[in-house]
Amino acid sequence: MGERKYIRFRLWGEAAMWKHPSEALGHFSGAGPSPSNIAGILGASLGLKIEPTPENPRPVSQTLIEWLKIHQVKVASRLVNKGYRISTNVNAMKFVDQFVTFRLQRRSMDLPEYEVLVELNKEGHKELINALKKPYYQIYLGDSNHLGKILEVKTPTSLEDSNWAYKTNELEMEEYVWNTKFGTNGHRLVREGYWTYPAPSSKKTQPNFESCIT
Amino acid sequence: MKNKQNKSAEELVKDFNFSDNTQNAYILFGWEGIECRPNLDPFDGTLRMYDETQQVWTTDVHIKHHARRGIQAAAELDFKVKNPEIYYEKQGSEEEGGKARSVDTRVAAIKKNYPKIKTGDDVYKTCLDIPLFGFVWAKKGENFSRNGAINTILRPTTFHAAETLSLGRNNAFANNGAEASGSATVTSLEYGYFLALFEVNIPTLKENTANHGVFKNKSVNDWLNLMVKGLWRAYTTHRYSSFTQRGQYAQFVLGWNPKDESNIDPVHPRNLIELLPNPNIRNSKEAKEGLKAVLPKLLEGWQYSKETEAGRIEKKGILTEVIS
Repeated sequence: MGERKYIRFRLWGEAAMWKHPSEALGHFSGAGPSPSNIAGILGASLGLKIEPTPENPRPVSQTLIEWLKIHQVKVASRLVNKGYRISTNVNAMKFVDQFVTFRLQRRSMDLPEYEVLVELNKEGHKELINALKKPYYQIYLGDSNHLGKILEVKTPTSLEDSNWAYKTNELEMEEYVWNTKFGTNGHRLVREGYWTYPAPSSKKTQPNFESCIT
Repeated sequence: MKNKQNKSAEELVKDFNFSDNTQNAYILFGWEGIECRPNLDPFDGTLRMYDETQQVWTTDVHIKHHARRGIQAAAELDFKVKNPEIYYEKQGSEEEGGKARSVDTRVAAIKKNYPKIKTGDDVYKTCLDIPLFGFVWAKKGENFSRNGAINTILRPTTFHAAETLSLGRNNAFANNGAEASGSATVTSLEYGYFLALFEVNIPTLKENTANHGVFKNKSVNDWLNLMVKGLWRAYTTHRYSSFTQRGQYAQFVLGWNPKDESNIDPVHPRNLIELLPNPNIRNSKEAKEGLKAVLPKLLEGWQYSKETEAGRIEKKGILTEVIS
């Protein structure tokens, strides 16, 4: 690794829906973004497009994966405010080609605010910090119904102890519900662990940096 | 004597002038709801409300549904588009029948004016709402989707605490076999002044509109004029008497490019309610006074400035009075 640099920013939205990867509709939001969610936000800021095909309309962006690998990007994140969920009842579609509808209750994070730290090589720092200050595409907090904004982008002079999210191999019964980080073995999603968001009042630690990709 | 339709048409003569030099642009839409029931919770049929502040809110899906209808009308009346089509349209739309349609039914209807349509890409390049709001081509084995360029970043919310009433009513006719008609309780919003803030992503809009087959060779500004005029028409000349749009009237549309988009302060009406001397607003007069307290702060946070304003449509000079 070359010289490492840091970027700090805040992530805000009216609501967020951090979905479990196996559930397309999203009925219960995780407490905050997983490292791969944050990777998507970085990619949208940089303007790195996905290349959909008829077989795979939502592929992972290979350009983004390469960018993250080249600059050896790692992220840390924490919940800044208390983190309540709000229920929204909506009509959804069960089978898209058969027009069977059903009602769904979505519990999204209400007015969430996060602090995100990015650790990366010096070579990628300027490009990313400029992109985060003026994101190319819209930022989604989990899905396209939940727009977000990136605020207060800066190069931090220190990394304080705080309630940073951390990775665990087992599910912990914290106050705030887990996020899972999934890898892929080429055939199906494999759960790698849990990205747990502790409450703001929890024990303070140094940031736990985690790679965005497997 | 000028009729109301002409008056609203006159308000639309002046075009907005959005720049495409910023990543985003913003559209703030304000409308009044009087004795209405916008977009109810599908589980229990009640108005959606923030419990702490008693502000009534509705969804982006609801407002976009009506905007689409207005966009179709604006395309025909303001832009002289022949046979403008929108994709997400309910069955029996002339009467706002309210029944949603399957993909095949919808495509069959569009084919009447555009017989060569086959694929999701064809539909996307024909319909006017898709480049703005996005879509999913819901056909098995033919995956295709487009992210919308315009979305609400603040869902439509009354900027004040709203009064709602529970009204009992009887059904006029008994169901088959029943001896007597039934009754129900419905909640009504007595008065609400809604604000909805749309964020437009200009790169996405450029990509989405690049090869449109019907609204051809149009600039970002043209598409945004279609949006603002459609939104205005949906709540003025082309309002429906449907349950969910009855009693709602456009007050203003304001568009701007942010003067410094790296310095947005995301002010939300839920936080601004504390600025109101009296949060319980019950009529237009009180709403105008309330807007004077709230709107300048909201616009300041979202980087509005007179210099970067793209344009406005307003009833009775409401904006001029409130933010000058």
